[in-house]
Amino acid sequence: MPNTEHAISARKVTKAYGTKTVLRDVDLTVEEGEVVCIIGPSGSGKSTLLRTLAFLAPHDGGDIHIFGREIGWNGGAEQKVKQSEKELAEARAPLGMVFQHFHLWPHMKAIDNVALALKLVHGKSALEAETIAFDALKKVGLGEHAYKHPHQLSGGQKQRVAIARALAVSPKAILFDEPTSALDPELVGEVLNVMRALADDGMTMVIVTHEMGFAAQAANRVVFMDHGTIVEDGPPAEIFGNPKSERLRQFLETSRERAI
Amino acid sequence: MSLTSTDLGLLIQGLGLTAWMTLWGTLLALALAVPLALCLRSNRFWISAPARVYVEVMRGAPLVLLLFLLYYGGPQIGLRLSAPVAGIVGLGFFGAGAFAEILRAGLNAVPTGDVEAASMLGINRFKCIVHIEIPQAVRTVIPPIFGQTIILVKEFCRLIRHNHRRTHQSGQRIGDPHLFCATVYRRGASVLGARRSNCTGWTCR
Repeated sequence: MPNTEHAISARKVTKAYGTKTVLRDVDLTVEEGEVVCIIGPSGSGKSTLLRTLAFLAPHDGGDIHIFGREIGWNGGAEQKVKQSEKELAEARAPLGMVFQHFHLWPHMKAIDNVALALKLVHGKSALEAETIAFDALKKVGLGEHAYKHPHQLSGGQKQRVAIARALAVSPKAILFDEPTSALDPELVGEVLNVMRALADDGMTMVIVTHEMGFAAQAANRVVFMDHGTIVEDGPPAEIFGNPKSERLRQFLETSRERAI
Repeated sequence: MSLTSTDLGLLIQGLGLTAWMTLWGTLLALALAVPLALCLRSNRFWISAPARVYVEVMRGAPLVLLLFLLYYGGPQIGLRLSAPVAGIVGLGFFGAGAFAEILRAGLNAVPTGDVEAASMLGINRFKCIVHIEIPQAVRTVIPPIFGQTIILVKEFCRLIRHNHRRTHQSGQRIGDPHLFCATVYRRGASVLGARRSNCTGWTCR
């Protein structure tokens, strides 16, 4: 049921691709201001879960509320009443999203990427939109690159533009889908720094990541997923310091070995 | 026969006419292709199916058939077009099929994530097509669009050659404005033919 105190609440969410079930009765709540990292092996359903939260991947069962408002279906997925484009856009409005592969629009300069939604959706004039976009770019340290096209930027810079684009429309929460997985190791840091600054500003964030160090430092909560279910959910010190399940212990061990 | 100034003039005139008709025909084809391509991509069967049938027919049928239906069959349903207009309209409707298929491919080549990013920002479907998908697709499709345009020009020339043959066979269509191009072609071809002995070797292959 709608619950206004949670930023994001997913209840009994299931999702299947054909016969393959990727999410089984997942319950997840995120409070306002919380930074939640989702970790887990490939194919465990973490990206799918994140995408269902934004209804980019429609869930087959359960319901998801974003700041108290249901997203995607009306009355739970079982009712099969899909929201109209407008309803969905309204439900999504508090959410921003950052993708693994950036998905900047290649035919626009960085600043136009950031300003487009302000002009098209928020009714800002070209000048207003550019001012806001420029501020957002400055915030992620890209003021001097504002007038470059995406192909002139490095991966880390592109991802920072993508973060600025998500930020510019002042979302109440941002979802990150493996934001550093497509980056050169050297460029990961600059993106994580921007994310850390956002977390310090009190932004609500849900981050699917393989960066254990970042999760340990920046997250308020870490969620470990495997085989489409949430296996463990707790503060980072608990998850990394005192894993309860054998599966999580195994997972942490292999990722530590790989880190060396 | 030698190259006279009249022949040369006719040749240039014919070239101009071909270029002019191709230009307008291509523009019409492109204008028709955009909505067609969008229909082809629709999830709704009743939108995509008719578009698919149209595209397959236009890509399968010969241009000459379409032009004959339009020019000789048109008047029977009250559609009277002058020869150049019939040529342009025919070329436009014919080319639209192939162009729609190219545009569809171009639109499909836009990464889904680019569209998802737009919808996450609240940009609606229509604005996304206009501001994000079409500008990207245009860049992808320019080379194949030019290739297809050249194919259209050649198709058009072949058609003119058809009429040229018919002129000789029936000998009664002189004065038909439809055959203006053919006359030009015949002059041009015979000039060249004097040197090359095979007039079909010119632009038409």
